[in-house]
Amino acid sequence: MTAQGLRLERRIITAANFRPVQYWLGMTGWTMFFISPILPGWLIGRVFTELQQNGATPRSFVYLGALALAEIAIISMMVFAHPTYIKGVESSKALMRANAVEAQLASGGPRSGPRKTAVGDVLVRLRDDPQDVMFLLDNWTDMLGSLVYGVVAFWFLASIDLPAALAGAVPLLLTGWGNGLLANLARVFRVRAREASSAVSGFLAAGIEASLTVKVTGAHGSILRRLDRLNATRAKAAVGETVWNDVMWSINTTASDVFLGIALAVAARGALTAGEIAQFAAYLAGLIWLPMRLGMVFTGRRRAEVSAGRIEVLLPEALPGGEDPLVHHQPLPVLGGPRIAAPAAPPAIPLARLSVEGLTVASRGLFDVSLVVERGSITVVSGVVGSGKSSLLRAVIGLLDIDSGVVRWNGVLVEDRAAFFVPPRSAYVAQAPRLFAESLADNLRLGFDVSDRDLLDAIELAAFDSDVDALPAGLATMVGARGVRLSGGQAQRAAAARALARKPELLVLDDLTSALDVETELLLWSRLSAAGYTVLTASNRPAALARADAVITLSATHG
Amino acid sequence: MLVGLVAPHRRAFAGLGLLMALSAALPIAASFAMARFVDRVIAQAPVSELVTVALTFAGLGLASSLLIVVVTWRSALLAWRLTNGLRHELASLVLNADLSFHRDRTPGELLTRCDGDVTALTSFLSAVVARIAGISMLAIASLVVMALVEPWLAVPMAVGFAALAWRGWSTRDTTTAAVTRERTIDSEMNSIIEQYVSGAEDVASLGAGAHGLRRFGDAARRLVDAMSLRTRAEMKVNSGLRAVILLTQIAVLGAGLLLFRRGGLGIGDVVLGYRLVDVVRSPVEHLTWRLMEAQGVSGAAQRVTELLEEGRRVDLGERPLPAGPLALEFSNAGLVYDDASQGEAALQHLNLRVEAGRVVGLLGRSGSGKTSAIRLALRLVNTTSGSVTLGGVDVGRVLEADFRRRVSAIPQDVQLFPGTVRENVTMFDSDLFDSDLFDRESQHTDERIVDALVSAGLGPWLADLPSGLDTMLSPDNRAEQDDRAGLSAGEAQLLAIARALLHHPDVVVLDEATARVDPVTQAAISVAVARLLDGRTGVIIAHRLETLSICDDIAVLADGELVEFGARVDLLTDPGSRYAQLLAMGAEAEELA
Repeated sequence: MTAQGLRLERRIITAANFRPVQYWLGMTGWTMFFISPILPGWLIGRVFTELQQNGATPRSFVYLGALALAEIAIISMMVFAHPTYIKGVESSKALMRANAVEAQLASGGPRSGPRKTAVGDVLVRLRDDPQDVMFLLDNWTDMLGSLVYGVVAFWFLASIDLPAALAGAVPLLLTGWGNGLLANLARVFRVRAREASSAVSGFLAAGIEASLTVKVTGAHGSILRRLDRLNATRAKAAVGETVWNDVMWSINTTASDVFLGIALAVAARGALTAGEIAQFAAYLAGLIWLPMRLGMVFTGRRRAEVSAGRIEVLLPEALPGGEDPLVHHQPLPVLGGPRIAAPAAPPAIPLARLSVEGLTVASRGLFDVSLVVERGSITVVSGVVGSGKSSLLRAVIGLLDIDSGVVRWNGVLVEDRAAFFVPPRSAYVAQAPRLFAESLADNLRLGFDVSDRDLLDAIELAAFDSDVDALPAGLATMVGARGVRLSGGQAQRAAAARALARKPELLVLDDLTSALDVETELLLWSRLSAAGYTVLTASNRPAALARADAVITLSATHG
Repeated sequence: MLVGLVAPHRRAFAGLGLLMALSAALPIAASFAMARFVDRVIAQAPVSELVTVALTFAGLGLASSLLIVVVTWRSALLAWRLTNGLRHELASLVLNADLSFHRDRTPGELLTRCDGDVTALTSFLSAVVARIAGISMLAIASLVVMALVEPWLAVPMAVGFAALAWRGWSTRDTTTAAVTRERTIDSEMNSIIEQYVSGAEDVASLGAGAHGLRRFGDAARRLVDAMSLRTRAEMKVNSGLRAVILLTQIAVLGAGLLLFRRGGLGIGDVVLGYRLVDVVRSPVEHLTWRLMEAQGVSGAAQRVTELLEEGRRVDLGERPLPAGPLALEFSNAGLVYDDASQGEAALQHLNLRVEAGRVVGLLGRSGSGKTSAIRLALRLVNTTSGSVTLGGVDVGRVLEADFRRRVSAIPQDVQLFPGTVRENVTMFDSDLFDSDLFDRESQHTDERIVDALVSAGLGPWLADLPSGLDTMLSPDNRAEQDDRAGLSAGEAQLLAIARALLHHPDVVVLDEATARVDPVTQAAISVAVARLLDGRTGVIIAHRLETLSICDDIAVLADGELVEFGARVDLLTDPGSRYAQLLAMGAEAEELA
């Protein structure tokens, strides 16, 4: 295989090396676990040989005791190896997830990945795929263990009776190999089961998310019928997968009995002893796993490649310095690693004027849009639904890719808009802003060092102060699913306070007051205006237009 | 919980039991063949006899192999049938549950309950329960056979199997706490990823990615710790069972050696004893790897049971609504949310009557109780004092299906489903659109759907769609892929109006339905809303004062109480009314524009 061909292996080893002590110690333990059945196999042979030759002598009891000790040692090895391995491998999986989360949340720059909005899909990818990637190394070590065991076991059997050993081992290895081919087919079942399963989860998630809508629209029955249909499909796929896996397992465990019978039939022509029969029985059974584990390295490789690809769509294509975007090490508090550093803000650049020239996003119906925002002014973008107001704002600050056009800050071309348009330069409030299941204060700070004073000022400026006063625990109130659920208007003003807390030079507000009543709306605009903020906003609301220094009207006929 | 699920499948269970008994008999027969082979080898029997015995052993192995597959197939099928019933029941109650239920739980958490936990139960049933049943049969059969051949060897075997059963039983819950903890942290971590990835634009535009990563990192650390602890607990169970069955085998072999020494026992009998434990040992070892599913399951079962019990408390009502237009009346209605709001009432003593066929506009600052009032009207929460009646029937007692059929809501945030435009308008109601079965019907209903969309002002939007009603909607309102249609917030609300139009309700509740719609679309909707409300009882929350021109009556709320009520025309002409004052403020704002 070429160096390029081994890229997958290299990146998995990089991931494994994230917490190398736990990972490799655990892995070594597992490999030993696969090799170790040699010893009890030999000892059981000795017990019966001794029994047949000399009767139940003290020596036969010694062999029996040794057998017990060997088996106990093997169990102890497993007890040690498995938790150690889990620590290592789970850390590696956490690393891949962290890299994906980092790329999704990055504000531009080399570490940002293409943003995905289908969150359910992202969740499924981050849950299952790191497992499949790391499994390849498991396959390698399992194979290694089986190979060592297989060679030694065959050598023992061949030294007893070569033709019998061949008669047992060859068809057994062939069966195992054929079984490995079946394992490829099993993947088809597995993929089908997984697709059916994510169809159920996806639909169920949407249903739960929209459960109140489902309730008030009386769609309960029809949604359940659809769910039942998806469930039935999944049951079929899952049963297929289970049965197929079990066919393989059962061939692997019982086929050894079939070929043991054949090997013994061949060996019957010579002078067999009870001990030799016991050794045949013990060693032949373990051999069958070898070709299958060998095959799994290859099928596992394909699976790992697909899974790595599924995470990669969330990641940047390359990192500066040639680091691997999927597995590059970063501080993560797992197993004693350092805590991730608090966010750092870039230097402020006081705004004199923001200019947008010839901005075109064809897919959103924006063609050749130009605008200028002067310091201290309020610029309102208005237009009918679908005219691209939101898209224009998102394109300016780099949340949306543009086909052509430039954005200048004080006349200087902004290259990476997403990286540039962050506090303290600009802050953006979406039309339906997201808050997180944290305390209100944490929601507003988002990890930044903002003093209580500044926070309260921002809250007042956002006309959110009376709402905060009414909250049971004030700023410490838990927001979101487990705490107080804020109304649409409250969420908008909380998000405005979150933006204002960082004292941005430019405020970009997408229809900020859409869910506010007239009085609160007027109050908010008067406070923002009095504070002298530079504002770029999308709105059709009279209160916003009333405060506007400049109005840009988008028409829906652009497209 | 399981009893109710199992009952309808009694015959399938009996059949499965029979198959298992049969599959237990084969490995025991194979053990006899092996013991005989050893005896005949020692007796230096003719090669042809040895070959026959060896091949018999091989044949029995093959048959047993096939039977195991059949057993697996039947038990997996049964497990999925059983748990799909449970999935249905759980989803049903989550979708029926009211606001207070959903306030306390994240969607991710509910998804874990309805899907993840039930899947854990499924694999427990198919992988563990079925295997334990099979192992028990094998163990009993081995023991009986051993006792018939050599009672003294059956003694250590019986003790060993009893110890195995005892050990299995006593460690059944050893890892439960650790598994529960792990799952809790796992869903917490998933909820963090879900929240931050869906809020990625907010976070990125505020340069706060590191904060999200940090929250993820903390959860990931706790998850690794929890998994390590869980694995350790698991190993305790796993190694215990392995050690017991191993020592049983050693003990039987030891007893065999002693009896051999005393005379009267052949090597074949010793081999038989060893093999009879072996037929139990190999499935036990296989099972130990599946025990994680067994251990997690009591936690999963407990959570599912809790959810079912709580769900049963959701009252779906029993009284039908009278025919014809319905009046909505709040009588002394009070509402205190039972969460962190420290008993502060969202509504107190609200008295308001919406006459049948009249439309009332609710006005008031945010926090004045408008949203709470319509939540009561929609039965998303229940009054803590007083009552709300619809057509003279307490809304809390109205039959749920009747209620939802007669009352339509245009919610503040319109939720879309991953599905086609048709599915989103009909909310997957296959009676309305199952085109496979009723092709002509479907054309007819397609017309109705198109009519509804056109009436709602989405005609031009529909005409632009690449595949018409079959166009897939992207649920997050953003058209990321070319073959999917996106909807702006305003358009999504138009779609909700189309949903309502399709169902011919008697009562319509609009929550800020026009808030995010621009003036042009606004005008178009006004027509559609007027049509929707024509002859129907309506409650509207609107911030655009001109939307209120559709209303017959105006109700102004402040601090959870009604402070003004009257016919809109009367209030308009009374300059002292709050409505007239609000209108003046709005007009002022518009004049400045």
